[in-house]
Amino acid sequence: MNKGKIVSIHSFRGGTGKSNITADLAAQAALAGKRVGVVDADIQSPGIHALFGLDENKMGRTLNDFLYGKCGIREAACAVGELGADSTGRTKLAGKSLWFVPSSIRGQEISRVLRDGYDFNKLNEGLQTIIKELDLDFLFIDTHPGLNEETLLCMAISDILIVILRPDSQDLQGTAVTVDVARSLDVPKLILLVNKALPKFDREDIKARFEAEFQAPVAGVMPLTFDLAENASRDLFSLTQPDHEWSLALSDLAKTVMGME
Amino acid sequence: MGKEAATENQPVAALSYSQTDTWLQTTPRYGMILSMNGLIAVIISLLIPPGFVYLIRKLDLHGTGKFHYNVTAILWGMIACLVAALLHSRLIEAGMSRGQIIREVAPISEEILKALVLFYLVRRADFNYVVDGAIYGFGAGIGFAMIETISYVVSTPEFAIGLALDRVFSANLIHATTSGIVGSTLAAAHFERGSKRVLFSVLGLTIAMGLHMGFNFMVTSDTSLLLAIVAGFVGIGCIAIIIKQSLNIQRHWISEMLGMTDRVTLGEAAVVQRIQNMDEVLAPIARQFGPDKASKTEALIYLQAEIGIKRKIAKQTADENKRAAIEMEIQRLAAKMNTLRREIGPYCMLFVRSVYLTRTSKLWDVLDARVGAADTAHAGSGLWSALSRRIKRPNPRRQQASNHDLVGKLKETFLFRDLPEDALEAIAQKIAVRKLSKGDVLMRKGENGDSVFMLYRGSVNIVTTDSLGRELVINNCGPGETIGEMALLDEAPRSATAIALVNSEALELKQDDFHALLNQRPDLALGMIQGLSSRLRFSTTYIEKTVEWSQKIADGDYSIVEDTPTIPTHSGTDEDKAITLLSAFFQMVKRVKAREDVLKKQVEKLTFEIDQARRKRDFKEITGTEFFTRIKAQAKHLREQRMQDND
Repeated sequence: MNKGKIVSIHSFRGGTGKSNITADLAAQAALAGKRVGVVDADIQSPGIHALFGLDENKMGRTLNDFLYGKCGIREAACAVGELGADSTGRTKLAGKSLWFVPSSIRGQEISRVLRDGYDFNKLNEGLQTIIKELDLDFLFIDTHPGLNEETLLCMAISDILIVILRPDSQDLQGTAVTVDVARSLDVPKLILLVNKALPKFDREDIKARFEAEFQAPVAGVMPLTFDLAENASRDLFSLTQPDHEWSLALSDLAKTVMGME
Repeated sequence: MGKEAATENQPVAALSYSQTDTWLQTTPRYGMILSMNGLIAVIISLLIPPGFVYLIRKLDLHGTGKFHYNVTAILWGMIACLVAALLHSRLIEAGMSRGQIIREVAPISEEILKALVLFYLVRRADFNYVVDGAIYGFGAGIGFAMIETISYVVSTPEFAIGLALDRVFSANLIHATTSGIVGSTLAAAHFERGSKRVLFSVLGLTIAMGLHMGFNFMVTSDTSLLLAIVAGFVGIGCIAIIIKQSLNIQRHWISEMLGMTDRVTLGEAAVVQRIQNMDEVLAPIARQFGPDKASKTEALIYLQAEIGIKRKIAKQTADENKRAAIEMEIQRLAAKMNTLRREIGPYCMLFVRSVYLTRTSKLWDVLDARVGAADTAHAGSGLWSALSRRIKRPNPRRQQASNHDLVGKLKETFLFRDLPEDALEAIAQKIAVRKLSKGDVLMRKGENGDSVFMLYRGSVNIVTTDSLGRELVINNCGPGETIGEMALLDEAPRSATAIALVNSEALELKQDDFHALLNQRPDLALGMIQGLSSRLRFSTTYIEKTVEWSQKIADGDYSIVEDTPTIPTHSGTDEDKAITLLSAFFQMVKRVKAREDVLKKQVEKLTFEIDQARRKRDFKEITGTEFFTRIKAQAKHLREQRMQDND
């Protein structure tokens, strides 16, 4: 089976660069000619929409609307390639098959989710539907950090799980548990990705030791970079600065993901 | 080729150029050379023309032309004549008339043939300017005409002497003039670019051919011999004017380019400017320092002129390869100049520089004012003027009791070695010899210095201490070098400590005695200045190196520290010495870097530890819920379903 792979991007704690990596990964896959969907499943603290150039005004239907039965999932999907380019990076996505399902950024709607919760089966059904309707090759899910219930669901239904961590002890401890849980959920493919590694660290050393510790492949050790911080989630960094060290590492990761059977 | 011929029945005096040329039809009678008349004619043909070349060469004030290229040009002219003869006899065989050849072919073919050697010479890196081109061209023309004249002479033995004489002063000079014009325009063209370059070359050749043609027309139209000779002298005059004009241009170049880049001082440059009054410069030098120094000074002045001209030429040369070749040539000349300067010696050099520095320059006034204001010289204000006056007069002889041993030693010190014997004898009386064992301190930093030392034997390290009290070698002195001379000029304490590296011997001269000597012999001060300025040059090199190395270290390039020796040596150039001394400091930098590298390696390995007990506890907490079991089952179901869908 090559069609409709679900790739969840997860990290135990926030601030690992998860949204950036998810958006750039999806963009790279779309650039490579794949049909790609991105779902912002971080309903409690959405963020990835900014990278695709959406704000409250531009945002139409959202995942929240779908979960509460206000629309079909297809209606909540926004074609990024047709949005009309408004930045250097996103210009390159014009005409590409990339759809994005945002989470609502309205305070009211977020608090409703937190208060009432939602039907996990509905989310699951939505994901399956959008894959079929848009004939997707890949569906990337930006998950909420930690190991709450909706995240566990996303993990459970993933074909590929990418766990992002920073080389620090808190991330390591949480990632160890995440990896154990993912294994318990029989996730077929599990990849680790180290981000924000300080330049002074020996990256080969980190990769080797993490692989030994977690018994899982480390797809890359990406550097901490001020350039990316400066980007401040305004644009897709791997598209604006394709020759940057970080972008090259991300592009390698994209190839790894796309090459996975 | 034959332009004119003697008609056999005319007397020599009335010999005129006529068209009834018999030369090419007449078989040369080489036997005539053995007759008295023939011999004299050949001698005239061969000796007078080179005399013209000599005269023209004398005009080259800056002496930039090379003798061997003159010879090359003349020899080529001779060959060109033989080639032309061959060509023209072929054309006659082919049916061309003699008149046609003389008036139409020869001016073109001969000018081109003569010019070939000039095309080669102007391209050489040691070629200078229009003066060179004119002189070489003149030579090529003379060479050509010499052979031509001889071939006329052997063909008309009857009028041999007359023919030789009139040709030498007319046709010969015209050949030299036209080629001289070609040479100078080719030289000028060489410093132009693109179309201008071609234009200059073509213009020169055209003018030469035109003049040649005009002359040939004139002499083949019953013109008087006198007119031909006048034409010849007008020609040589033209070349002289061209050379004079170019010399003026070169003179500007020299003053423009002879700057401090070649370490040619203002005084020296001023002397070079007065190159036409060379005798004025050299006569007093010969009187004061002897003919050897005078001839070396002369060579030095010519060399400096050539360097100035070459610098300008290099600047004007667009082609990079050629410019590089000229730069190489300049470096070679500069090295030669430095050798000459050393041979001439500091005292004579100071004299040379001061020849034109009298009232026109402010140097002595400035020194007067400075020394007067500082009030450090016992001689007080006016010392420098006195000095400059003194060295222009032969010094009065003073008889002193001599200490031969010490005088011999003083002769090996850089400070005193150029002084005349009587001065050395005076100094020797004041000298004390200090014998040092290895490790002995000659002088100590901070002490009041009241004497200067000249190292005669051994090796002494000049050492200072850093804020932590560690020794840092800042210089190393070998035999002949002066130590502590600063104490003689200022009253400040010793700026560094001097420690004998091996068993050594130094000559000590007390400050008071030194000042007394200065009053008697102001020229000693000039030697002191020389010594101090060489020390200053070393400091400059040292600082340059420090900046260069620091820059490299800042860029993370430590390669410079790797191979340099740490043991100081006092041999080699200022630069070698600076490198050796600096390496001690940069070895420290290297150690710091090594330490830093070790630290860096430690942080590079990430330290992490996972609490395995907590990991298990957290895992159980999450997976132990009913929700988890349900979701796991659901996920399994979902996957199976998708598998089926895909199948």
